[in-house]
Amino acid sequence: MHPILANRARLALYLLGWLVLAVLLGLLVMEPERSGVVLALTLIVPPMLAYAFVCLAAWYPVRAMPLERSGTAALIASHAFAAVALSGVWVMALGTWARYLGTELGKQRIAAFFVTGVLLYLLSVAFHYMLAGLERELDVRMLARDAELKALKAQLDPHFLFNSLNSISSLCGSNPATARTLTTLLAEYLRKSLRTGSAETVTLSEELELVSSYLAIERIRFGPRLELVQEVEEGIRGHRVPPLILQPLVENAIKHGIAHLLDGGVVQIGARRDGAGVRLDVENACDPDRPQQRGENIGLANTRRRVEMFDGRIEVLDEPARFRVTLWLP
Amino acid sequence: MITSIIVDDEEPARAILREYLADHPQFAVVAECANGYEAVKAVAEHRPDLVFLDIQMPKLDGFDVLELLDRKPHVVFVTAYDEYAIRAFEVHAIDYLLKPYTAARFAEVIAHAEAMVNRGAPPAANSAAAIRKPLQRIAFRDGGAIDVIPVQRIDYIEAQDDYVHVYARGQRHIKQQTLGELEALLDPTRFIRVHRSYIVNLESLAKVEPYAKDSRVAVLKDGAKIPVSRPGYERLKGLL
Repeated sequence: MHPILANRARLALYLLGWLVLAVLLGLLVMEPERSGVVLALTLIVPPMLAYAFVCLAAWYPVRAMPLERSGTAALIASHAFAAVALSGVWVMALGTWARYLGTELGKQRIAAFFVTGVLLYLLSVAFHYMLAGLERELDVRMLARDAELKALKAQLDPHFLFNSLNSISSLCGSNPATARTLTTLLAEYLRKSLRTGSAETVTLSEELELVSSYLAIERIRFGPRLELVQEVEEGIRGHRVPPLILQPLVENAIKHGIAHLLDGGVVQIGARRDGAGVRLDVENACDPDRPQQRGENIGLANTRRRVEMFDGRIEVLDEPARFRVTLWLP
Repeated sequence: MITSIIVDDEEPARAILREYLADHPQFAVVAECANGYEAVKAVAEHRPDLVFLDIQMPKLDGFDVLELLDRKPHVVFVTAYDEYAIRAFEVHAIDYLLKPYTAARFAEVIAHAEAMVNRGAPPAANSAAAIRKPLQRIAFRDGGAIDVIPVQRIDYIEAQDDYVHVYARGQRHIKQQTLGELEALLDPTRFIRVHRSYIVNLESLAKVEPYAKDSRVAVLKDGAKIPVSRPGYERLKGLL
């Protein structure tokens, strides 16, 4: 749907702009001191308003030929051709309208109107490119917000919370000191995820801290079944990454990996420099007999979309006893 | 004295059950298990009246454990997931404890359990309705040993009276179940009943050959040959 036609207020504003233009043109070109203001305006305003609608049609070629994906020559040729053709038809209609009102335009004015028509159409093309750009930007932002919300929701997994609360409840009796630690860890984890969730980017070190508090909680629940190896290259902790980009991967590593192993296993997190960007790895042991999954799980699909929006790359290694996700982020 | 077993893969979760149970001296904990395998063995060995059973555990979940038990005890499910309540009801669980829970709620459950055990109420039961379909794993018991096999590893299944012989990578596993029951649980787009007495995994199938007049035989990738009946062949054709 055309963004201007879709909204009454916008259409009214657009037509008002054209009306002002039409009155100015009528007063300037039609010499009202000779033929009278009323005739000058009657002659020029209705055809201008009609042309206003004609110019809205620029939206369709603009959408069909995005600036970044079309050749300059093709762009100029097609829009110029459309401008000349539409303006030509418009001037002819204008001449007929003038004769109907009992007056003549004259050659000079016809030429002037033709040039005006071409320019107005081209202006409209430029205007529509602007509109299309705005709309795309809005789309991208909506997508980002959407992904972020989903990530946040996925990450506040209720079962994780309930199981952690159950651990706390249990430890209150047997080991109050650990219960206190766990409460603090959980609070820290929640605070960090709420804070980082609303940022555009966070430092790698913030993301790693979030992951660490998550893992510290799971360590209390899983005990020795969960083993951790973390390797972070020096000097890249300040690199900026999308928030909550590692967390869902680490959560999957536990939920779909370690939790299904009788004797548990290792979760490995790696971060190192890769050119101007970083390479992040999350690897976990998993059950070779795990049920086959149909399609990618939601968390991973979400991460894939977010990585691609960030102009990064993702690779998944799915082996019988090992699962690894690697991200390259600029 | 009511004997009970605690089954949970998380130590803090076992600890709180232990602690709460200590306030109810008419209950004795005879074993604690950290996974489903241990649970099946411990129940067979101790024959407890009551089992506190976690659901989400590695390899064998709570429902798998229950299915594997010949002599079923009374069961109280203890889990952080509320979505299994209906399945729990279908296997006649005494109650369903949602983590985390209070001592008061636990006392309620325990009172209910005590009444059920003392009254000699029927214990938990197998229920086809409680099994999640399509089946992803099959568990077998051979004396004390337990085998859990992902269904994609099965080549074919053969009916033998009230038992099924499940062939997976050259090994035979036996289970007390009818072929029809098992067929209803398996993914019908992958497991085809090619004969009154046989189900075959499509992924293990190499080819179907004519055998005699009007009869055919399915040849599997490992060379095994299985008779294919006429309606079985129709079903196969429909899927290939």
